[in-house]
Amino acid sequence: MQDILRRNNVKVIGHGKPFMIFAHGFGCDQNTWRHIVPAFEKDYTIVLFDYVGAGNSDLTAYDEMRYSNLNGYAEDVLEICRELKINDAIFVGHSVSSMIGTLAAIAEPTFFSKLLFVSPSPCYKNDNGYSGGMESNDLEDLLEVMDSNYLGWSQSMASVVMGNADKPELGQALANSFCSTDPEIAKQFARVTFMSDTRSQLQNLTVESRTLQCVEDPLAPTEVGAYIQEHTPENSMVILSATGHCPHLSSPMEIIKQLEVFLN
Amino acid sequence: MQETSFTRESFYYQQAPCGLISFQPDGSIVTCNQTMLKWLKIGHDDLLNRSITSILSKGAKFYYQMIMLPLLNMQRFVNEVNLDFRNADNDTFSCLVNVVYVGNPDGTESAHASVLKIDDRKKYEVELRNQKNFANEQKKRFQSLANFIPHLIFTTSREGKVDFVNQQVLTYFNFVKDDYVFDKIVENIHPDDRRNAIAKWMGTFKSEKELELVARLRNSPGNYEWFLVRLIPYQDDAGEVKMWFGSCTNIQKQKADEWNALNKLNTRLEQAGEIILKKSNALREIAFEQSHPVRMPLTNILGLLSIIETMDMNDEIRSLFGLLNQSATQLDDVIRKIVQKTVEAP
Repeated sequence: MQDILRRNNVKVIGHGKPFMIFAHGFGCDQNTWRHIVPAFEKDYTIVLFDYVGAGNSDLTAYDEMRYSNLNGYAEDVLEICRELKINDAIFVGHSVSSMIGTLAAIAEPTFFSKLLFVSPSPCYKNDNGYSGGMESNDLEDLLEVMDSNYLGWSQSMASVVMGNADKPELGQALANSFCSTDPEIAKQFARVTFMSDTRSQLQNLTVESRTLQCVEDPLAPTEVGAYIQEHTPENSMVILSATGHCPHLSSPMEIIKQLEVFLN
Repeated sequence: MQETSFTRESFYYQQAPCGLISFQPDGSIVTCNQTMLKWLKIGHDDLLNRSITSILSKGAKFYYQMIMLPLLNMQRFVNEVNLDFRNADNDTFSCLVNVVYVGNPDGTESAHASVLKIDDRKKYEVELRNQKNFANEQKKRFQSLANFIPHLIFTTSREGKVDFVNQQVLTYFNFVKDDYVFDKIVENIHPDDRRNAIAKWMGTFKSEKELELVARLRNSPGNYEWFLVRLIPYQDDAGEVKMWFGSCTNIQKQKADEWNALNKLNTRLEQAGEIILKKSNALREIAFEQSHPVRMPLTNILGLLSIIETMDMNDEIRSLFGLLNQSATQLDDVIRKIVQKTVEAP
């Protein structure tokens, strides 16, 4: 049997009773939650993980067929829950992970008590009156930029080690995580993410959820948050003052506050 | 003096051979030098307070949001990222961008970016990437073709390290992904064939000559089957061996047919031998049995001849007697030999 915890580089920290699962989005790994996690590790058991292909996950476990759509990633989340015997967890997903969490919660509702979506999108492409934010050729443009920057990533991340002389463990972790990410898997994940369309699944979600919607998010316009709220039972939306697509990094305090409000 | 220095610094800032642009953590542009404005074909005031993403191409905008911004947030700087900018005429130009967050006196932070235009270098990069993509495509085509062929197909490096096997190899040996190292393959050669196969295999890479050998390989259920293993070198235009193409053709049926043919031949030979033996025995019995009845009257003749020999005979009769006696004696020798042979025969 495959070691699921090793496959997804699962880290369990904190000692609180309820589980809180943090799922990173495209282009990141579990380090992306480092500003948020400390605020909750006292009261929750925090579960962090990397999707296969990201961070320090087991790259050899990448199965092109399994991860050809979001269901494969949702299955990974469910396997982690089964392995850790998780029930009634708080699931916090950024970007594409919001929909991965949705698919997982539809399949196994008892595993989750609440879902928090940070900058979610059920469909990134514009489609017949639906404003997802991307045109069909935008994905190819993004893949081209990714292609031309793979070397740039490595160089950037390698220099982190020198740039964080006072925190070598941080620099090393980041350098390792980004350098070990397979660019081909990253491209495949980009395709799966931006070609995904889970709009028809939203109505099947029975677990309570909340969307944290940024203003001026080119990847998830406000209309997308409104669409999710309209089509998902038990979903509410909060418009953040943060801008961009990564408010947990640019405005972590606001995310912590909103998460606390949602939990209480 | 102070003013001169400031003016010179200002001039250097404005006319630097790279674009310089500063923006808030939320992306809103604070200031920009003349070089950057010239590339963007826009006035300074028109650019102020606009988002940094508004001057990026669509792909660069997504990349900035998803990858560059998280990196900036985590490490406070990003170096040598390739982004395409979009000017007022909607034309794009490719740049290499370094960004660093710097603390302001009021405790806030601003991001400062240097932008180096790399249009020419980019063209070469694009061409290189196209070539790389083309090479990858060719490789995929070869692998697809190799997977379509029912034979076991593999390639090795110049030194003989197996670096690709087709799906049939993985299935036949029940290998997963990178199992196809030399040691693993050797384990699946029949012990009686292994030594010879390894010697020939090693010798091929030294001599750089084609290899052809027959050996038994073990399949995933654990049964051995005969294979014809072939290895041919791929040479570049200079005639230097760059890699090797290999195939293993299952000749188990052919071998089985050969065995069957041989077995049939043996059976027929045995049957023929039995027939011959039977006939030989029959002949021997006939000879043995018939020699006695034939010999009996001959013995009588010889006895009579020894009596006649004592009688008076004229010369003519004696001459005839001699001939008769000689013939009878020869006949007796022939019969003796026949009897002897029937006794001596296995």
